[in-house]
Amino acid sequence: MAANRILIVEDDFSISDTIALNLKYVGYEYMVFDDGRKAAEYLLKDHSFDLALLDIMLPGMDGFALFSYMEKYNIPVIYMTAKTDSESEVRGLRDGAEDYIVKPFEMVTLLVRIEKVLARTGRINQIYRFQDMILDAENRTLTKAGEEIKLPPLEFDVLSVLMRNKNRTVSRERILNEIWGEDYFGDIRTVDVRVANVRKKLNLTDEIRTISKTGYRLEEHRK
Amino acid sequence: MKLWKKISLICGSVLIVIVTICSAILLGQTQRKILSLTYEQAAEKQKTLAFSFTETANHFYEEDDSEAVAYALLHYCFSRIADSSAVLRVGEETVYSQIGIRPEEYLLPEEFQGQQQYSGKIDGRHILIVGSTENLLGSPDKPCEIYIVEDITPVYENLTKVLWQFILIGAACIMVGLLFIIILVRRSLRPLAMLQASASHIAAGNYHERTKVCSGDEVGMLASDFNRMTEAVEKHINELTDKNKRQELFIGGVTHEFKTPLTALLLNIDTLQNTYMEEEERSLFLEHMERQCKWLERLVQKLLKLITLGQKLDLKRTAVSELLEKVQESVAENLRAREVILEVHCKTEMLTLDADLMQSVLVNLVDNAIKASAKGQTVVLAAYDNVLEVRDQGIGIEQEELAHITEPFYMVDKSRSKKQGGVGLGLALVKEIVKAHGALLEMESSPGIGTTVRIHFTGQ
Repeated sequence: MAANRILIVEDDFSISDTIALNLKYVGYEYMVFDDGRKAAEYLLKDHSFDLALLDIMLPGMDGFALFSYMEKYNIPVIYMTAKTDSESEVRGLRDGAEDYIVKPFEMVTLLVRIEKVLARTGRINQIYRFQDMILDAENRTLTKAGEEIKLPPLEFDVLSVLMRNKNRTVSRERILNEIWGEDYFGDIRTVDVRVANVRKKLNLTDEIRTISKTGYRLEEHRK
Repeated sequence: MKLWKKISLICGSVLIVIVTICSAILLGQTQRKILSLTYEQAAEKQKTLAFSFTETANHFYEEDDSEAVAYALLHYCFSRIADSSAVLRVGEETVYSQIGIRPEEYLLPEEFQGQQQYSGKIDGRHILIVGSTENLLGSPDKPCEIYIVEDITPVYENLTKVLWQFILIGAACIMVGLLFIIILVRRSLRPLAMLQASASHIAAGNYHERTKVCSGDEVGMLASDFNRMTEAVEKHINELTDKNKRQELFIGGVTHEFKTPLTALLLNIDTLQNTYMEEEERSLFLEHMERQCKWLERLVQKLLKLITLGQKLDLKRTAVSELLEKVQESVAENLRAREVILEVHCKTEMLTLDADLMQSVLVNLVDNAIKASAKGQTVVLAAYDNVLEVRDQGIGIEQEELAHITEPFYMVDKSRSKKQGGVGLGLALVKEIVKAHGALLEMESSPGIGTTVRIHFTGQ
């Protein structure tokens, strides 16, 4: 399975650029349009998207009108808008949008929602690549340079979270929550122990960076 | 208490008083008249009786008659002419009487000087006594007293009957009068009730409601004044609502305009904090953020200008040609870059205006004209007859867009304007500055032909 492909329709470049870069770093593929009509026209040719992020106030064709195209090609939609009035929220969700995010929002929120929508609609890419490693979260296998490596389940999960959020800082709490669930009140240092093991076993001492007071980040050095 | 009740009560009271007084006066007069008539009749009767009796007695008198004969003769003479009410007394003795009343007890004969009257209640009946003393021939020492004793109780009974009739008629008059008063008062107060109904409707918020009262009296005048007042209230309310709505739209616009760059800034900061990036990518992000900050700053500046405008207008007689020259200088670079030609015609010498602000208005308009023009086209900046004009041959604006372009944050082509750094406040500012000058802003445009903007200075 290839990386998830995301369609961004947002007329403000300062926002769409940032979102696009973030998606790229995390490992998604994307297309950006600043005009509703142009996006609709492009969809006629190519509609293999796993998710669409739509602004509502758009030149050419507004987000609600664009929604019918998404429905046609079965692309789940997350609206992003500055319109905070409940009317458009109700309209957006009743139309069948998967989610709704109000500007200003945080990148981590958007990324989590994207992940959730992809998981809910069964489109999430379960195969993550990092350098010569391939991690298959669904079948729980890890290969490095073609050779399968066995990791204890918790260490596998820690690596899986880091690889899914490639290049982004992941807080210890988030790792804890994703692996043990929200109700687990365990010692946060358990995470540190697992991360240290993963580092040692896979020789990722430089790549998994400790971000002080926050958590960890799996960095893909491109030079 | 309701007004109609009050007025009816007052009118009714007055009616009752008047009817009572009138009846009393009328009744009193009637009573007096009837009684005096009765007295007169009795007096006349007595006089006639006395005269006839004296005549007859004198006629039959003979000097040598004995006292007994004389008494008998007097009795005879009297009985011939008297009826049952008459009484004759001669020298302290009653000679003739058919009734049980002794009139001499009520009238004192010694004091008689001609006719005397008495009326009063005797044994429960109204009695009238009229009497006189007559001197007969041959008996000067024994004056004879002639009385008429009449029972006038029926007269009083009749009077009582009349009194009751008066009371009944008066009461009926008062009743009927009251009924009429109530009907008339209610009818003449009906416009007030209608007015009141209208007022309560209006108080409930139906400012378009008008009262239909159209009588010519004070209530009618009140109604027409009331309608005028309602009209004024409606107008003001509408103005306020309009103003409120515009302000709400403006604030909504401001919020939206701030939210977008703020979202971008926050996203960028978030990314910088949490994402691993190479150095050049990092500086790309910082450049983005700088651009967004500058844009926000420009937005704040323009908003401040828009809000504080009109408080510091510096009006001076200004040479128009100098103003146009300055505008020309400001747009020169833009003209060169877009290869557009600017023609300037100045036929007006002086205008009273704030030179700095008007310059920014004209620069704004000329910049817009340049943006709308294609390479090689001409933009005209002209001054004539208290009018400043900017005219282009550019792409023009659709009619329905034209009505909105002076609204804050309205952009005909949003993404293009934003790329050119516009915040959507330029024409709103132009409009406000022109308005602060007391001048009129006129815009004409047709797509494909071009746009003309005129500023009419009135009262110069």
